[in-house]
Amino acid sequence: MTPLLVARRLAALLVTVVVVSVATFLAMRMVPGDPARLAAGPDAPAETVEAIRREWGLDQPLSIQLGRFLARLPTGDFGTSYRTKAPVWSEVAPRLFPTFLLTVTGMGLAMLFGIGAGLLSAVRRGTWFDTGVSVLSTLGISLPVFWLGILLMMVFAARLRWFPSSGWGEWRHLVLPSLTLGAGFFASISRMTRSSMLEVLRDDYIRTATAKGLSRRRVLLGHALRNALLPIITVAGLEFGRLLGGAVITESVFAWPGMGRLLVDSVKFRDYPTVQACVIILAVCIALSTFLSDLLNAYVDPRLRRG
Amino acid sequence: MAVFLRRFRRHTSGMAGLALVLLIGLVAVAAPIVTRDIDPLAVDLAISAQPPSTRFWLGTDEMGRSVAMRVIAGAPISLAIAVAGVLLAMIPGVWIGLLAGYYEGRIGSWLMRGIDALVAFPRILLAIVIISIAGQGIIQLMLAVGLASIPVFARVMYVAVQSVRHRDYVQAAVAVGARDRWILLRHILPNAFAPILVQASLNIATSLQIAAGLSFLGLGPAPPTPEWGAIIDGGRTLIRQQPLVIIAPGLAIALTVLGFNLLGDGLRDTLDPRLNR
Repeated sequence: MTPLLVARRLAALLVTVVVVSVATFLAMRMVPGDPARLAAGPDAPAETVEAIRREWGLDQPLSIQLGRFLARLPTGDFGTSYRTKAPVWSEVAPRLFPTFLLTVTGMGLAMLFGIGAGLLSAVRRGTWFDTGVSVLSTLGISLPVFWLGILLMMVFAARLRWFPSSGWGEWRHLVLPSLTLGAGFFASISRMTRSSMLEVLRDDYIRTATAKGLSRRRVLLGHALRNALLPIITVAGLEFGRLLGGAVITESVFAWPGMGRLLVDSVKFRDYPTVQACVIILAVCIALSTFLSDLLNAYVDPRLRRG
Repeated sequence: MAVFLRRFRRHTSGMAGLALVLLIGLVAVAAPIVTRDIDPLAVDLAISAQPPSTRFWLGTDEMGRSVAMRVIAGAPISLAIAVAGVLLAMIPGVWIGLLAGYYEGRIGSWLMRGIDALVAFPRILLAIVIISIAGQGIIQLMLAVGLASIPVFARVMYVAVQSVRHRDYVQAAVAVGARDRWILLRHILPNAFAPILVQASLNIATSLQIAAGLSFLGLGPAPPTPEWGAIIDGGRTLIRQQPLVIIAPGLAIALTVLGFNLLGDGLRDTLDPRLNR
C-alpha cells in the first residue's frame, strides 16, 4: 500500500472515531433525566445538583458541551464517573489489558484451529473429517456464547476441576474464557477457509505447481493457502467487532475484569460517562482492526499495494 | 415458485431447519395451554433446586418453579422478541437500502458509509447502547435488537438493488418513462426479495441469541419473566445441584437458533438466482 493510501485510510479512521464519539455523546444526552441529578443521587439537595451542573459545564449549550468533550478526548479525559466519582479513565484503563488479552487469545486460537480445520476439510472434501468440521462450525454459530461458557465451566471447572471457573490471575484462568469466545470465530474462519480453499484449488497455477513437481505440502501452504488467505483476513477483520461483542458476554460469565463487564455494570448503574467511554474505546478498536486487516491484505497480496 | 418448492424439499438441512422452526412455533402457540396446570411463575422456596420428578420433569429452579414450564412459557416470549425485532429492522432497513441503492446520489453514498461503519460495529453493543437509553423491558429489548439490525438489512438491500439497478429491464422501464415509484416497487423490490428473506431468517437466529444474551447479562425484562437467557442467569448458582436449569433453556435457544440458521441457509441455496437457471 502506498503511503498516500495508508494516510487516506488513517484519515478515514479518524473520521470514524469522531463520528462515533459525536453519536455516542448525543445518544447519551437522549437519556431521560438530568445528568447532574443522576450523578448527585436522588436525595441530594438542589444546591449540590446545581454545583455539579456548573462544575461539569452542563449549564452550557449542547454544542459547547460537545466541543469541550471532543477537545478533551485525545487526552483520555472522558469526564467523571457517576458511580465512583473518579475520572472515567482511571476506571477504564486497568480494564483494557484483560479485554485485549482475552480477545487476542480467543482470536488466535480460533484462527489457528479454524484455518487448519478449514484447510483440511477442503483437501479432504466429503470425508468424515469435513462433515465433522462443518457440524462443529454450525454448532459454534448456533450455541449462545454465554451458554457455551457455562457448559465449559460445568464440565471443566465444576466437575473435572482442570481450570478455575472464574477470575483473573494465571494462564489457567484464560483457558475457558478464550475457548468460549473463540468458538464463534472458529466457526466463521473454518467455513471461510474451506470455501476459499476450494475455490483456489481449482485454479490453474495450482495445477502448474503440482505439475512442476512441488510437494503437496508446498502447493497447499505456499500457493493455495497464500491466495486463499485474502478473504480470510478480510473476514477476520470484519468479525473482530463481533468478537469484542462476544467478549462483553464472556467477561460477565467468567467474572473477567475487562471492558465488557465494566460496560454492562455501568449500564446497570446508569453511569453514562463510563458507558460512553467504553463504547468509544471499543469502536476505536474495531476501526483499528479493519485498518490493520487492510494493511495485512496489502502485505499478503502485492496487487493491493498499489491500490 | 413451484421450482423453488421442489428444490427446497430436496434440501435436507433446509427442511430440517423448517421442521425445527415449526416445532418451536408450535410449542410457542401451545405454551399458554400447556402451562395452565403448573404456573411457571409460582414461587415455592421449600421445593427449590429439586431434581426431576413426575410433577416437575426437569426439576425446579432456584425459586422452586418448574423448569420445564418456564422453558415452555419462554418460547413465545423469546420468539416474539426476535421476530418483532427483525420486523422492526426490516422495514426501515429495506427502505434505506432501496432508496440509497436506487438514487445513487451523494446522500445515498454518505448514508451507506455510515451504514457500513455500523455494520462493523457488533450488534450486541449497539443493543446495549439502546438499552442504556431506553431502559429495560420486553418492548425495549425488541427495540434494541431491532434497531441494532437496521444497518444489516440496509446493507443487504443496497447490494441487492445495486445488482439489478443497471439491468436491461430496469433501464427499459426507465426508458419507457415509468415513474420511480413503479420501478422501485414492481421491478427492483421483487428481485431483491430473496436476499432479504434469507437475511430475515438468519437474523431471527442472531436476534434471538442477542436478546437472550442481554437478558442473561441482566439487561432484559424484569426478573419473573421466563425469558430463556434470564432463566440461565437465574440458574447460575445451581451449576452443581440442578444443572438442568441451565441446560434446558440453553438447548431451547440453541435449537431455535439452529433451526432458523438452517432454514436461512437452505433458502439461500435454493433461492440463489445463479442456480435458478
